Amino acid sequence: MSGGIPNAAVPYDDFADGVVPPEMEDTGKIVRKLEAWHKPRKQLVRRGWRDNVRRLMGELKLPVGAERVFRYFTLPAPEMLDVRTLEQAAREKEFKVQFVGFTNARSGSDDDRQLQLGQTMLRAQADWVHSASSILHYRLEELVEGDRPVARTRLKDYGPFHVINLDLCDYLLAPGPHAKLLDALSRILEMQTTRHSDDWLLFIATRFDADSTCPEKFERIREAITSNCAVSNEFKTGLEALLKIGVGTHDEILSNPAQLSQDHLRDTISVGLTKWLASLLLKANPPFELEMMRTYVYAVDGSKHDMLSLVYRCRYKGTPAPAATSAEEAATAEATREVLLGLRALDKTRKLVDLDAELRGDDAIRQELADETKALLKQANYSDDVLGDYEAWAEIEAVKAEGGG
Amino acid sequence: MVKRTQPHSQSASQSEAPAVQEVELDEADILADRMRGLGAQEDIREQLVVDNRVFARITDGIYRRPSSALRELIFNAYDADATEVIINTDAPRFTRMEVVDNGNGMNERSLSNLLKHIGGSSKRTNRGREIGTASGDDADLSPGRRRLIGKIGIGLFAVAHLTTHFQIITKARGEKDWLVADIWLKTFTEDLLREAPTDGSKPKFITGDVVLSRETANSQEDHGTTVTLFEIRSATRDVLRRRELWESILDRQAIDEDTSEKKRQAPDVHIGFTDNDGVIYRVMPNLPWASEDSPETRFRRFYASVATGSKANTKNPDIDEFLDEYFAMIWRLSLAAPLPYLDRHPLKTPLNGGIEVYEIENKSKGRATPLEGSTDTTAADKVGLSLEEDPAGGFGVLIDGVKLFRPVELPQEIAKSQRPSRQSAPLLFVGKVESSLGRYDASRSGGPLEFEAYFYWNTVIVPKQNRGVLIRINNASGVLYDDRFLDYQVSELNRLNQITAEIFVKAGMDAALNIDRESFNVSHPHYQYLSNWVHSSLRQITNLLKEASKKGRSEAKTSRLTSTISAIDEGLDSIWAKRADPLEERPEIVVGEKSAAQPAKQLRLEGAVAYDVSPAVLKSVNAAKSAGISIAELGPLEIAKAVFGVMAAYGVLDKMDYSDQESMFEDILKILMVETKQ
Repeated sequence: MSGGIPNAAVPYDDFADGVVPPEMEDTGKIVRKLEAWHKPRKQLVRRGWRDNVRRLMGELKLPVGAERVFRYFTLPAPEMLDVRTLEQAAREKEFKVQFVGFTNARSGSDDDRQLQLGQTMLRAQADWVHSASSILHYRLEELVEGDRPVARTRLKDYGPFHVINLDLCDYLLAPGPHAKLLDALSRILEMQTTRHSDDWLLFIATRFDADSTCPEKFERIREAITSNCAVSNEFKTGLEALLKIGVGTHDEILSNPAQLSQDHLRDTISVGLTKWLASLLLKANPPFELEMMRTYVYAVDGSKHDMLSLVYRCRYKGTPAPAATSAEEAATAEATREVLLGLRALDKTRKLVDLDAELRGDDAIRQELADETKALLKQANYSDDVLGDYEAWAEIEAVKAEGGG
Repeated sequence: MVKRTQPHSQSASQSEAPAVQEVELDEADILADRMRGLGAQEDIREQLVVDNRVFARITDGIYRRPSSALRELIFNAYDADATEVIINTDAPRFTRMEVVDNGNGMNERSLSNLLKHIGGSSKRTNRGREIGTASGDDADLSPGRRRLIGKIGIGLFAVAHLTTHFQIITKARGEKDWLVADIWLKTFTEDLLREAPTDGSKPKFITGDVVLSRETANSQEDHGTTVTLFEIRSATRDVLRRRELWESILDRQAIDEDTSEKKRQAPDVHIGFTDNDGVIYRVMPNLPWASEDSPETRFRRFYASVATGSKANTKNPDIDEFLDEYFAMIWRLSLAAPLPYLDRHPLKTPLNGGIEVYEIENKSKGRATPLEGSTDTTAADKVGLSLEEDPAGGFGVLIDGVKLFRPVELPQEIAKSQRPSRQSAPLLFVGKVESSLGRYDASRSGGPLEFEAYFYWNTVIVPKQNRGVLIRINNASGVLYDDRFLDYQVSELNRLNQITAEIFVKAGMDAALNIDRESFNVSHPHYQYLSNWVHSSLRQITNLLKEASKKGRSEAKTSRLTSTISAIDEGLDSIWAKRADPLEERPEIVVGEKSAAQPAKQLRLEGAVAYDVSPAVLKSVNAAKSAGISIAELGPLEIAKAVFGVMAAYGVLDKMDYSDQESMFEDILKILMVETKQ
């Protein structure tokens, strides 16, 4: 269809706004190319998701006769590899995965059309995908847009979920009035805790960048840490040891996020975010206890770590019995609990796994991961032509990463 | 269209034509030539032929409501033997929609047939049998042996009402690939028709563009179709969002206008209203269910809210007033689609189970006869009705997480009513007809017509939207209940309000249904036959009720004599006997005080005619009473005039002719005189 204005001499009036349908776009066969998240190392992350999901599926306490539906919230890339990763576990544990996603893809765009195709093809696999699975066109940040966001109602309609997978490309603590991911995350926790009565999983992948940390958002993370330091010497010394900083200097070092090194920021976010989440969940009614699972860190493009991939299991603690103890005693017990959770976060952060280091020199595992990724991409209709070049592409990408380019 | 390579007629023009001419000529031109050459003693026998340009017009949209498009897509899924259709409307934003089914899907042939023969459906044709859109041995059945709803092949293009850009992703079982069609529809212009070729070559009306591609399937066994509607038209979005209504309400609130004035009010049940981007709510939704409710519970609660809501309203509410456009759409779809009933199938009503069951006699002056039997015998068993199970394994529709059912429940007890009935149990009339139209040449009679039906009577039909008769052809319907019962001319107004009926057409009627499926060609023999039968059935029902009323009236008279009747009551009774339904008792009017508890609303649910008057008004009435002030001094005429003035302001008089108005004026005068006499 030709573009342009056929008769520009006709004067404009606004009654025609929204009346004339959009112009035909030059759409065609969906073009698929390899992206950063198709590198073999990311499959290690997906394996982690899959294993946690499988374990949870095996342990869910479903009422007798209940439909075996596993509700999974995602922010899908067009090829939906994360959903596809669940197939084996779902089949094994005889669950139907009902995936619900939020996407920013523009309506009718290539990404949108790829998602539509992916959804259709997945839903046709009725033996493990629930037919009411759906990708909704909302941004995650819309969950906290104004007092009465539409996105929140929609998400509530589908939730609560057994998994919340926020595989973000962005930075949770990014500055700016529109960067509301942290608020959105806290809203999701609120929705989950008020309505879920079983364990669930929380996956968060976030970029981190010392040069663009929002001081206000960082403050929440810092506060979660310093409150623990104030009541636990063990935590304080542990933290200082982890950050390799002088005794009694954590306050000063954490007071200015812009001065933090990338490594300090990594560990601070890992500990602080975990502690912040744990604290929110503990205060929920009913409370959930956060357990940090194996967590990965890697560099997206350069050589410096800038991506954290966190995995949590949120354990349902049941409705608390009416307080047998005094309010004061209860507060002390909660403080003790928080300290304990902080100590665990410290321990897990110490054991962060460097994804690239894990694969370096181990060709066998690298090939295994490459094969798994290719199989998933194949299911997502990547052509043999593109997949034939996969290894060469992965090699170039790895070299680029090593070289910091 | 023919090539003039063959002699066409015996007319004189034949000799003037070149022996062989390669261009195609219009049949009309040839006929004109033949007419010119027609001798004084000759005649020409020809046939009337329809041009196909009308379909170019149809593709652009002939529907009035967004729900029509979804209804057509549901019907397509049903015809494709789907057992489940899932619709996501993106409510409350409505920027895009998706209809997903697990039906047979399409292969290259059926998809290309759909795209290249709009308005030339392969269903119900031998071609359909060949390409698999119909059963191999019966073109009227789907491959899974459902009676096909679709017939013309324009259903898919009902989406033109919603968008100009949509996508079909489809796959038939056994095929290696999914097929993807990206479709852009053009806006219809008269130029499109004008530009059709005039040189005699076959006219083609291009109504859109399509981009086709294929994608390898994960499994050959997978099948189904997804239709995605991108970029919903802004006007359609506004209708679905009821933008105009909400904005006028919000504007009124903003300027704190007096809302007691007669203006359009917010619907009782609604999906909320968002800003134009659909990001935040300007009005929060008022849903009949909770977000944790199951899809089935959601619908049950929706149905209950419609039933309760319509009962608490004295007037017969239009679903568009009680519900917002979205919920009205859900209601319409639940009526239209071939779904299971919320309760048991009405024809499965047991005999001796609380409802008195009768069989309608198929004669214009027939008489319904009672059906006797044990409680484990159903009306269908007794009359030999064919309640077949769905041959393709059931059909379900889920729209935005709500599972649809046919919104029909027939209570076993007499409903509490404003006007208590003299009939003690609800009535069900069932009928089965194999019409005599099949005896005649189909080109005159329209062919065989067969149907089964029920009529259910109760003092109140709840929800009120179900008053009337609904015609289902091959299990589907595009119309709402017809509360005029196919234009029944006899004045049985009250009685007709107490009847809900469904007619299940087993054969015929298709041709009497207009192309949009939302109205009938009332001159078609099938429609006329059906209308005659329905009217005869109504007469059988009302005769039976009149007999019950006669019996009841004499009993009531005896008991009434023993009680004291005030002069006003007596006067009202005589007006009631003259004007209202003799089968019913005259209602008492209860007046209460307006408060948060809304006592009148509760009383109405229990069947009373109840009004809440504001405390201030009640207070001044009482004050006037104790002070001995009375407008009675003005005289009955002035009071009656004042009452009429109020009624005129409320539009009550608008619906009455002058003779009724005069008679009402006189009756009010009489009642007022009765009081003064005392």
